[in-house]
Amino acid sequence: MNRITSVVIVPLFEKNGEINLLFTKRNQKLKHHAGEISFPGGKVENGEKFFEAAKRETLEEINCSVIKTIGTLKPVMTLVSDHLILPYIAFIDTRNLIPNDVEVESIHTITIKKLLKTKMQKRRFPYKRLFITTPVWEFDDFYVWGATGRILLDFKKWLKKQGRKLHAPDLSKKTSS
Amino acid sequence: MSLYFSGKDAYNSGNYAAAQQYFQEALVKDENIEAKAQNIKYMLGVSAFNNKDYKTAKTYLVLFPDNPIANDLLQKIEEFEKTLPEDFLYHNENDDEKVITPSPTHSVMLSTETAKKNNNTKQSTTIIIIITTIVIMSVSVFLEIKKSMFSKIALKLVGVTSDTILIKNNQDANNLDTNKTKLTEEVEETQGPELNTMSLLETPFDEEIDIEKMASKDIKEISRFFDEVNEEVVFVDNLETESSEEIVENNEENKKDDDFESARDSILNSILDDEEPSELEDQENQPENKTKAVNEVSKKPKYEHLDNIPDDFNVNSAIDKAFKLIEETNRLQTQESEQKETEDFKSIGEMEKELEEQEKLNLDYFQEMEEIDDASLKNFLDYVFEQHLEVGHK
Repeated sequence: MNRITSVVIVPLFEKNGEINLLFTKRNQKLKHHAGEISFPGGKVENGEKFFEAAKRETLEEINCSVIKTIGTLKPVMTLVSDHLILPYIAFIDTRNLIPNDVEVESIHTITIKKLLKTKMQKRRFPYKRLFITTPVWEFDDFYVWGATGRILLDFKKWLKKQGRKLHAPDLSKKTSS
Repeated sequence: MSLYFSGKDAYNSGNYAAAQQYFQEALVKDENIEAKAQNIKYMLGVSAFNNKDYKTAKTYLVLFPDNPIANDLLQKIEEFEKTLPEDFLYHNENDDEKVITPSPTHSVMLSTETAKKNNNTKQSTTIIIIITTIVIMSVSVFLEIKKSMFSKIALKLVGVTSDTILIKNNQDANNLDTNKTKLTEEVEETQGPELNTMSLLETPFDEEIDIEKMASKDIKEISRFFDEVNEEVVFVDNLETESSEEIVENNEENKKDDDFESARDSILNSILDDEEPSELEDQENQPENKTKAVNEVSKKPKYEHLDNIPDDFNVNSAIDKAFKLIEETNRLQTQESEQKETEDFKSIGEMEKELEEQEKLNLDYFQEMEEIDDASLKNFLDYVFEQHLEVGHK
């Protein structure tokens, strides 16, 4: 049994003067976590750097380039698909956002303000012929749970620890780091 | 009449061939025999039936319609007529030997020969049956062995492919085409449910999961992640300290936390590092402060038996700073405890504990997903992470 190392980007972008957080709903036909809400990311190829993998996957999935990475979060394990996920927090350029139909079914966004106001609550909901009770982020039109939920919880803690207003980088001086 | 009695004796002893001969001769030689022995024709019919001379049997048994045995034998003859060909049915072996008029002794000899023949045929049939059963059994056993061998080989082949898939995923991924990787992923997917069933058999899948190996691999990956993070992650340099709606409520407390960490680091550095000696060296270099420095040095206690403590170690200042550190730590600990009480969200661990207490988690689901191994591994890695972060802070 070999654990697969994956990377994700917790993608931030500015819209109407507010910092937003982007989620992707995975395609129903995918092998792992089909139809679930997640962050852009994927498997790290052999010999590939983690950040390069994160940038590549973000470009592949939503056609967005990473502008600036502002932090990292604690690695998270998936309980179902045996992945070790390493999360980056980064600003992305959403001007050319086109979801890849093969991997992404739809795009969902929330503001940072909304995230700070929302609490993670336990919910009992159907999952693959079973009912599971697990902590869930319940937003207006979607919910987040599992590894993505745990990453989001870490991200909220990270935000609180920053204690500062986040400013999106100037897109005219776009430099990927 | 003697012929009748001889026939009757033969009939009673079961020698129907001789009986038939005696009864037929008696009927020919004595016309009134039927009046003397009323059942002679019945016995002749039964004897003929037993000798498979159905034609004769039929002609005599018809004469006794009220006799149930005769009727039964006639019914059997009718059945034989339907199933067997007429030539076979009414072929009398004696017809070929009509030239020879068999005597009773001769007929007895014939009957013994037929009995012997019957015995021989019986023996040969039993031998044939035994041989055929042995052959069938051996063939079936051979097929079973072949089948099991084939299944084992097939399972081994499947095992090899799954291993190669994993190797491909982890080691040779760069060398593979995208199509190939997709194919292997599909194979891996399709093999998912089969793996559990196959693990019950003697296959490569019944290997025990080495959690330590997994954990060491994860730790290597995580440490690589942090090594790369140091190079790649650039924190936003234009983060402002202005308050706004997005500023988090615990801003001041977090600042204190940061201040504490920086204060702690500086204190520890000042105690353990060469910061003060360097300052002293600078002071010593200046001629004005030289005498002052010498006086300070002379005041310092000397711990000659401890090699690791420098000679110019200022104990008083270290004690003062240590007390400050203790006070600061106590203050922050109380703050943290207060903060925890007022915190508006709970960690995942706390929530899981609550869930376990309040309503039991659907453990079947997690067991199916190997929750036990992952959870223990997760806890272990969390612990490692905390250690790592602490080391990082220091």
